[in-house]
Amino acid sequence: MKNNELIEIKNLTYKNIFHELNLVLPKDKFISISGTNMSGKTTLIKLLSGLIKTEDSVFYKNIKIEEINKSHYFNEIGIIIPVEKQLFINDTVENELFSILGNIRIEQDEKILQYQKIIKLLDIEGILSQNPNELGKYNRVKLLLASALLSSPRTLFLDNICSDISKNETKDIINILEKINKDEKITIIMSTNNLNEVLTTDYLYILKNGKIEIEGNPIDVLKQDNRLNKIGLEIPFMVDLSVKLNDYSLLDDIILDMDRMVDSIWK
Amino acid sequence: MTNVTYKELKKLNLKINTDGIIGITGENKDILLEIMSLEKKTKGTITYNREKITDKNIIELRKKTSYVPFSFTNIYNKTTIEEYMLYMIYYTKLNIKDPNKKIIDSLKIVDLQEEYLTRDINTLSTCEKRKFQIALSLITNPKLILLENPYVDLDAVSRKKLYRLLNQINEKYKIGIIFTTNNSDILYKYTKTAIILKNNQIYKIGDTKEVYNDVDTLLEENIEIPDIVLFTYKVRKNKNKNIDYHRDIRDLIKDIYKHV
Repeated sequence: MKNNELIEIKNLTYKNIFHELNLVLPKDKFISISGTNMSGKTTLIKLLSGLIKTEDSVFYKNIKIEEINKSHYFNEIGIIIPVEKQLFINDTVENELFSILGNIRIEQDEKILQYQKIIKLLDIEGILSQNPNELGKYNRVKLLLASALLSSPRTLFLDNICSDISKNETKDIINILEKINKDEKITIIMSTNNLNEVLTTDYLYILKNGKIEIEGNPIDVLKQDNRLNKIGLEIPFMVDLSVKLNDYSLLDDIILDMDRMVDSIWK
Repeated sequence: MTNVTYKELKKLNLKINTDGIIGITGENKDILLEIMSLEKKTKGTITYNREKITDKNIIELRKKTSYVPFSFTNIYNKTTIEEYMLYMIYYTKLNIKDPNKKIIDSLKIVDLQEEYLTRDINTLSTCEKRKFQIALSLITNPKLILLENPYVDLDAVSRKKLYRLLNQINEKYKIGIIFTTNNSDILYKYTKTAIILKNNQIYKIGDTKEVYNDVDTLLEENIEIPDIVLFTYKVRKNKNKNIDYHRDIRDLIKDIYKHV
């Protein structure tokens, strides 16, 4: 594996979902994986993060992923796969975070610093005294992220974490993820069925029936409207509009910002 | 609904016509759906089909509304679709002459063919599961189906299928359809009537296109605007071009073409 590579999948065959899949994921990037329902997204996240055991097919930094999940590498990865009725044991968000912190093997002073850093990063000061089981969906996602980030993982695996929150809230979460990726150099591997979430990521994979159908820079992938429509994915509004205006020769670029778009059409 | 209060929602007044699909968005939208299900004791007056709801008629009226929760819970612990549906009819003591036929008919309406009878519920895809839930809700011959976040976790193709299905149930079988969503794009695309909640009150209710007419005020109120509406609004405001508010992007493009 090269220096800039993080995970390698070699000849992975799993149930009827993946057949001899080969894939190399880069290090330090914000990577997104999308596809329709039943395309294998969640399964891939589980395989990549070692939640589903395979034999000698998934390597993380040249080590079998099975080994990574053992205690020595405990802090190496964080995984968030939201479950509908997941219950938190503690009565407040603060206690929930502290109980996670308690299990992390770092010095006490470091723990406090780490805690404060995460609170600030996710802007969750205001919900610390709330019951984690009574949080709205948006704050729940933030709590899950905070919990995963406390142990300073090097890689974060996220499965469709924004699926049930509003557009503006989704933008907030994606901004936070970008910040985590750029500032903390944490590799993020995120699956989603909403292509609006992938626009600013570094690299996008589109899965179809367990195969990588399209991959590349998100904008370059999303421009291929015919292929995406055929797969059954919805192209983000601004990309769709740009591509269609290109077809009418009213525009020659992909513009994501609405004001800029309006100015470009009527100069 | 007159002066209805339940949980966070206070003194709601609203009147809805179930001709055409209705969508609810905003904070505590699912509480409004709960009120409509008549399953919960609420303060105030609810009138259903000109009939005022009392402790006496509520049991009968409840049977006419079906509630489809976001996630399916296998409460009867059955394996196949057929077993589950038969047991549900038996357990809830529904008076149905030919249960087997009723089950097949309900599945047919949601476009699940007879081979689905023996399908293991656990092997259903998200979209199939949602169809199955709707088929279940049809068993009681409801006049109104309430769906909690039905479009969440569905890809574009499945969304379109679900929309067509709900529309058909509404038009052909004259069953009211009300659903919740926190996505304004879905609300704009897939409903005839929109209800927007804000500060635990009905903020707006009416024809979906009209509800999103006054973008200035909605922006001030920090209400999420559908992308296509926001873009059109910016064209009208910043460039003074008289482009209409469309639901379909292709119509928008044609309109832009006329105005450049």
